[in-house]
Amino acid sequence: MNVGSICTRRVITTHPQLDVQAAAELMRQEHVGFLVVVPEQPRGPQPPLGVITDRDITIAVVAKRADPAALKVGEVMSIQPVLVGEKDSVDVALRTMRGAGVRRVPVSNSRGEVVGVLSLDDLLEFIARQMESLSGAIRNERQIEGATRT
Amino acid sequence: MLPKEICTPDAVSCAADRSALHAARLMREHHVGDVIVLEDVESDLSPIGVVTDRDIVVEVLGKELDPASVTLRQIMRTPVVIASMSEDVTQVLERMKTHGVRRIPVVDETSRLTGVLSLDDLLKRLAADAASLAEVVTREQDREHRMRR
Repeated sequence: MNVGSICTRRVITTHPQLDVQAAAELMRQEHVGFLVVVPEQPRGPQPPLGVITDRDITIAVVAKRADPAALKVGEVMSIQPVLVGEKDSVDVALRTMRGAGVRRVPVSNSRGEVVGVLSLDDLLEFIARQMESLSGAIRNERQIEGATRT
Repeated sequence: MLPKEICTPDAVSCAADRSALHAARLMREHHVGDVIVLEDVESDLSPIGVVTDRDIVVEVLGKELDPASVTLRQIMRTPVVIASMSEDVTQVLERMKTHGVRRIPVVDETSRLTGVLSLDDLLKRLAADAASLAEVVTREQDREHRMRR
């Protein structure tokens, strides 16, 4: 199973010049807590410049009493975010996220464009489904043996 | 398994009349993503709501409000879903699923806040159990190998 088949395909992007106030409004409107920061006028496919989360805004802006309308996304975002490829296996993605200690990573295609977001939640759901299949195999084994070995 | 065995005991809490700014500072200082809201931190320790880092962004900044003048009472999620420290974790998991919450305040017999149980705490515990299962498989193979030589 690869990353492309379990990640969320919906990516909300922003750019570094946007103010943090507007980024918070975007998070509210789009019901997301994670924005991928891309150049305002990208010249062809290129990797994201950074990522910014709702937590970054609370910790780095609100808690410091900074003015969210005066600060730019580019000043608060985490730069050089860890990426995973949509063709990467789940194992590789898990190792990458574990190594970097991040819960969410942008997913890129072979041309380097961001096409999705992979979160710990997506991975947990995937692993839980696999576990459910395992216990299902055990249940079915019993049932099939009961039916065929009468 | 009981919540008191796996919850984080020192929950960060705050009175309902304090500001969103104060809660954000607590989150920064204690490296947590949520604050348990109490009626009063001195006299009444029963949880009445929960405020997360996301609530501050969405309910305060996202609405162009000032974090210093918005109180936690205005933005907290109510009614609060709680767990008792001595009930079975399986029941707590069901409650978290029903209400769609990732974190749940844990209270003692007198409804006083004693900790917070998060999805992360439960995930670590369940993953440890799954790892133990895999270990049983490995050891059984080893044991058979030794016994049947």
